[in-house]
Amino acid sequence: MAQAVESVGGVPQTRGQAFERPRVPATIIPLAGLPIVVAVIGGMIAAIATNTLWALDFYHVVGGGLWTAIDLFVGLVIGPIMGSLPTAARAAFSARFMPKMSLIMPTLVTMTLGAGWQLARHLGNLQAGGAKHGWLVASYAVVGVMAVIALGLLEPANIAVLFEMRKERPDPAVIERLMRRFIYTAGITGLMQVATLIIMTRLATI
Amino acid sequence: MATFAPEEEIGPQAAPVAEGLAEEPGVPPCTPLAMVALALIVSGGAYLASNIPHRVPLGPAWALLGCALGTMVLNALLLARAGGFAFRRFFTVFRWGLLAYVVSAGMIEYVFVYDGVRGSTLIVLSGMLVVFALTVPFSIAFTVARYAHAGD
Repeated sequence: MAQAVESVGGVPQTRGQAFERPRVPATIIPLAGLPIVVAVIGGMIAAIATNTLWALDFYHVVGGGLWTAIDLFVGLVIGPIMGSLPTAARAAFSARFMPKMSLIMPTLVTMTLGAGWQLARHLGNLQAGGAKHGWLVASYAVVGVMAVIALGLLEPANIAVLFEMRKERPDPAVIERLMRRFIYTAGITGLMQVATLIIMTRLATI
Repeated sequence: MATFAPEEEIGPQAAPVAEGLAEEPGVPPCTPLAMVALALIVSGGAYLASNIPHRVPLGPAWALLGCALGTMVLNALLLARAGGFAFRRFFTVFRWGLLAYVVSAGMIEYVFVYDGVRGSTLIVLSGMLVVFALTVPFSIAFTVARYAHAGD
């Protein structure tokens, strides 16, 4: 028999009963956000094309700071909170959270890496044998590990959750499993970002 | 009204499975293999990038590219042999993903050419970008399709 086990916002949730599906996004990717992404990436291309030191630094620092902060926040703050929520609440949160993340994170990563490479080139840090080159190679290794995790696990989980949400009868187990993958991998990349912070602050002060 | 499946229907699938990396029985290990292919080309890319603009021995880069290509082909073969898989959904997602990652790989290729990378180094880097542009959409499409109905 169905039994009230949890309460979300004053609404009792039950085990053994189907529950209402959260608001389904109209499209897999939130189209309203695309103009912002185009503007941000366009600005980055202009910064690279004009080789403007301030603009390159701005894109690299802002992108990297947000990327790091979001990874750490999602992995270490949102993740444990999500883990303690009832399934219905997790699904409702995911339905609103994941579409936005599918635009925000790739944009921040592109900003950070695109501007960062050009900044290193502009400052002469790409030259093998330079004083800062070793630290740069260390950052390649850290970014490489993060790229494999993000492209191989995190992004597929993000997209798959959005597809699952659009089904007539989404499976909460699938959403939970994919969300768990998303949260854990965001946490791991967040911790890797601590290494990036050490490398980047070291690079800036040599 | 659209609803989630009741929790009784979830069954053992709801148990944590190594944070979603380990595949269930009968599902080919496409995600771990795609990650291996990605790791190989990222290593090759980092090896070459850390030596640019100097000339570097390309042997290790070719070896990494060869291993990545082999892993990618093995992954495709394993998936092709999987029964009851939602191949239609897989190819729908793969096509759109491929479009996005071909654009992304094209931009990276342009940067290398713009920065004066030529000859064998450019060829091996291009090969790595091909693996990149195929592996990421493959991984996304596989993750989406494995939870779809076989007929989808």
